[in-house]
Amino acid sequence: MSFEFQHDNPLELRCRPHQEAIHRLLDGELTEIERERLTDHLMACRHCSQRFLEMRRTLQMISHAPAINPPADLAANIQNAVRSQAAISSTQTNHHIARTVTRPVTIRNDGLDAVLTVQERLIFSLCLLAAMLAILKIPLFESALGGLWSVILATSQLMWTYLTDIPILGTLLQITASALGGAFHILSNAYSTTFSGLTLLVNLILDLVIVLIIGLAILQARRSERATYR
Amino acid sequence: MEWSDADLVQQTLTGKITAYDELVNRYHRPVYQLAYRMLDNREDASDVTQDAFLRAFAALGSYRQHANFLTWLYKITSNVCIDRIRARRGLQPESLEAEREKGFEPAAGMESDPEMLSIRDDLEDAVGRAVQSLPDRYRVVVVMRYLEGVSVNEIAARLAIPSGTVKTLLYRAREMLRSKLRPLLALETK
Repeated sequence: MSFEFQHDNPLELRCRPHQEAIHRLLDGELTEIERERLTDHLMACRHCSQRFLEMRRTLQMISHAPAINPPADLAANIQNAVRSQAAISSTQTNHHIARTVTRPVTIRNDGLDAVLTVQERLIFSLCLLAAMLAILKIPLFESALGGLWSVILATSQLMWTYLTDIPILGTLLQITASALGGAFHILSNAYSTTFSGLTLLVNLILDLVIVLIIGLAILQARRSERATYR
Repeated sequence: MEWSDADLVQQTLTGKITAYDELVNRYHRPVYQLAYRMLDNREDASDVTQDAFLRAFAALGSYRQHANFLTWLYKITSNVCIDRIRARRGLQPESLEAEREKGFEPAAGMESDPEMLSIRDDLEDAVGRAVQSLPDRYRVVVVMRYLEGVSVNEIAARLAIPSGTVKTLLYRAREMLRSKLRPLLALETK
């Protein structure tokens, strides 16, 4: 690369390559031999050594240029703008929940300072449901272990907190729960009247439901993984 | 206890917006400084500083924890500045003849500049003014190289110009600055 040269003294043409070398030295591009050659010249040439010192001092001063104070309200303005942007992002997430399911959703009402995606909540809830049904089978057919109900209730409450926190899906779940509550009431009546006849059938249905729920959880987990790494 | 930048980024990612407030408090000054040096306009510098912090917030997920947060922020800021300058005019160097016609001849010293002479008692202020007086394309490379500390190759990559062009711009810019500051440098050594 060749530089167009502007020398203070056009007569000193012999200095020209050394002037270029000064710039290359400042760019950190000189080899050891070139550096030695330049040093020898600077020792001998007052004109070039002065130029080198001026250039070096100029760059030192540029690097330590005085600070310019920003407007006093700049930080506050930026912080407000960031909050507005965060709020807009959050609104967009709620409106397009189906397409942005991997966006973090802060858990509310449960006191936990953590973040779970919608898929993670769904998977966790389905696993809890499967576990709850598996436990439910014990009091149904062993007719004991009544204390487990407290565990089941606590688990279902936690699960409910997670599920109802999800927009749209939470509302649908509440409607579904009402319907299932009625169905469960009918089923339990039938169970009490025809205990022996239905035992085998209910057991089979519960097994199928557990398998189905585990399958759904696996499916959701795979979808979540694909969405995360897309 | 003072949180590290990486801790604050992590907290912001978990939804704690006040952690990002702290990052803004820490770095809005140097970011503004860089923007002002590049754009030579206080209002534009404020806009760019805000824009840079918003872009950084949106891209926080891509920030790598092992990288220096301020360096990452500087990179975003200089990119925003470059976009603005590009919108005004190009970054390619013109010929020296064209620049001389515009009054940017490297040999044009401060002797003919009454404004610069009036501030000779404040050398540092004069340096700032000298940098600001450079044409955009020269000022950008000087600020990136000597204020931001970016290598020639990195400047070339960011500006999408050959590294030889960056060296030419730096060479000419240094000569312009030396010429402008020469009278003050002489006073300093007296």
